[in-house]
Amino acid sequence: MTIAPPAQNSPLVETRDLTKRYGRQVLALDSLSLRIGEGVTGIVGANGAGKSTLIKILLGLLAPSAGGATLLGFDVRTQGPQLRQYVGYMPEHDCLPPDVSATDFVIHMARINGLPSAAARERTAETLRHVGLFEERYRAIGTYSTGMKQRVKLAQALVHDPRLLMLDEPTNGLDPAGRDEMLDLIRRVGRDFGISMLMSSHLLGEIERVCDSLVVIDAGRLMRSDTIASFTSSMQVLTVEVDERQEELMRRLEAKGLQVAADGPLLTISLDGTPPYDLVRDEVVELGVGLLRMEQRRHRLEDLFRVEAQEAAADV
Amino acid sequence: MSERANGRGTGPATGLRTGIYDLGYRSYEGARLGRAYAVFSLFSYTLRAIFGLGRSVMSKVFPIGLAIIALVPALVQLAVAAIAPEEFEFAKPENYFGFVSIVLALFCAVSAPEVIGRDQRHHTLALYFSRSLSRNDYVTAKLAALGGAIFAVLVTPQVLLLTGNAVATDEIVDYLTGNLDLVPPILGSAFLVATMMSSVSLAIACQTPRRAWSTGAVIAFFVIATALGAILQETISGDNGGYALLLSPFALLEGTVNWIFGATPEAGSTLARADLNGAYYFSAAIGYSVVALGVLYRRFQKLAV
Repeated sequence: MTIAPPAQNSPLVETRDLTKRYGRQVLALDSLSLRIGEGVTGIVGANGAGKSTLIKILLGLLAPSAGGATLLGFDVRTQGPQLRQYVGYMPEHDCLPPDVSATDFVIHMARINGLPSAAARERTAETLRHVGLFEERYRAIGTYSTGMKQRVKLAQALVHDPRLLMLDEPTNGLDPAGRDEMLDLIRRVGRDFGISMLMSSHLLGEIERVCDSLVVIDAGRLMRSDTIASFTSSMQVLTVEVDERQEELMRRLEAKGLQVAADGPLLTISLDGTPPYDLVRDEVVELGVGLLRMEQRRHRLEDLFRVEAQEAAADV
Repeated sequence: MSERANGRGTGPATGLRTGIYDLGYRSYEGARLGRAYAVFSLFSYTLRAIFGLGRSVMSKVFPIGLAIIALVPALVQLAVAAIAPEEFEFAKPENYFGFVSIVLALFCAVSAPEVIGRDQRHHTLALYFSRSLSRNDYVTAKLAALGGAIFAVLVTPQVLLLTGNAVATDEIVDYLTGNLDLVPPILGSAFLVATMMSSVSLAIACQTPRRAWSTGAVIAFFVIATALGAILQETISGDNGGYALLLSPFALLEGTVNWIFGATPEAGSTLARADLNGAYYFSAAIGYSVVALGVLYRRFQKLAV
């Protein structure tokens, strides 16, 4: 039986008032409504914010307590078997049997995903090559390093050419080099292979490197959902570092109508429009101090969340 | 080729640094065969795993060893018949289960933890349950694989016996057509034995991902239930003692097999002393299976992954 592929123009993920309770006490998702389009989307939130719960509900591993969700236009509750042939899942935890080879395991998962035997073998060979596993793919998975196991986990999620790939904390347990390689690989799958992805992480830096858009959840609620660019573009700053009399310079710049904040040894000047390089230079010369650094940079996502956290703390 | 493959499938070769060689990603536009095919794939994969095919030599030793031991009564019978052609038939299809019941129980104890505990142990269930398989589909595929393996281990020697005997006679075709009525009870009784043994041992083994525990628990079940049946049969006074045998998995299966073949138990045996109608054994086998299946399916409905 062949199943009609999902419609191309439906939104990737759509949830309506999605709620998940564990027992009476724990509310993992609280009326979460969101819409996610094509491309690579990051889901960030602290541990316990509801990232894994959301992914598991979308995959049909958990039933929602209330509300609903569609994936590729299919209802996750009633059309799970049809839709999940077009979805790949790389879980956070270890999920590989140690006593079979990567080749055998990925072929098996391809068949479970509905690929006929010949296609399963062919695509397994290609996919393992794409994730960077070569001779070792005939060895038992138990002998692999963590980084290699992560690649096998990614390969089994990719082998059937999913329309949507869900990655739950894909860099978990990797050393910095392995982390970089995995992120490069994920970016490649998204950009070059054209596969839409939903990736959860509690590390903003990772999301920033890989994703086009970002969904922030906290305590099961949607905080914000937007493109990475719009998250950061409103946050252009000019940073200035001088060797002495920092406070004096700050007062002088503020007197000229700039918004200046001290951040350790740096002064950060919020920008709207062209950076006031000349103004800063003139003030520095008038003060007669040494200018160590002046650069324009974008706020990193971390900065954004630091600001929000400070505001939240101030509200309390 | 799709737009995806043409449009974005040819990124620059960034491979050398990351160890990834860009040979171009190809999208898959072929058939996706759906849920029934996924169930069949899991069934065949599990069946191969039961016999250790595609695994290390160590994982082949026990299952294949036990399957060979199950052949021994048939081989001995054929050898004896070849040496001494006069009427001496100790192993027949109707009593074959009695010879191999313990071998089958050991086969269950070795295989059931592999079949049902492995994916829990290695957390692979999340991968299966996020596919087009449902949880019930998963259990069905696993059950069919172990049941199929037990069926094969039990039926193969009986088929060997039948064909061996046929070859030993001068009229092979006449012998086979004359004994054609044996085929339905051979298949029917093996099906029932396989159903009960696989469902009971999987229901026990699925309770823990730990292999040693579940192997021990399956063996313990067969030993304790059998002993309990025998002890109660002795201690309950009067004719009612026979009903205690319905607890014993070996006795009730032997009784069921006898009933299906229309055979009478050997004089002096526990079954002969119990003197129960075969339908009781049959009902007990069905009862055991239904309870075990209920436990098994329920467990996987509840299991968090």
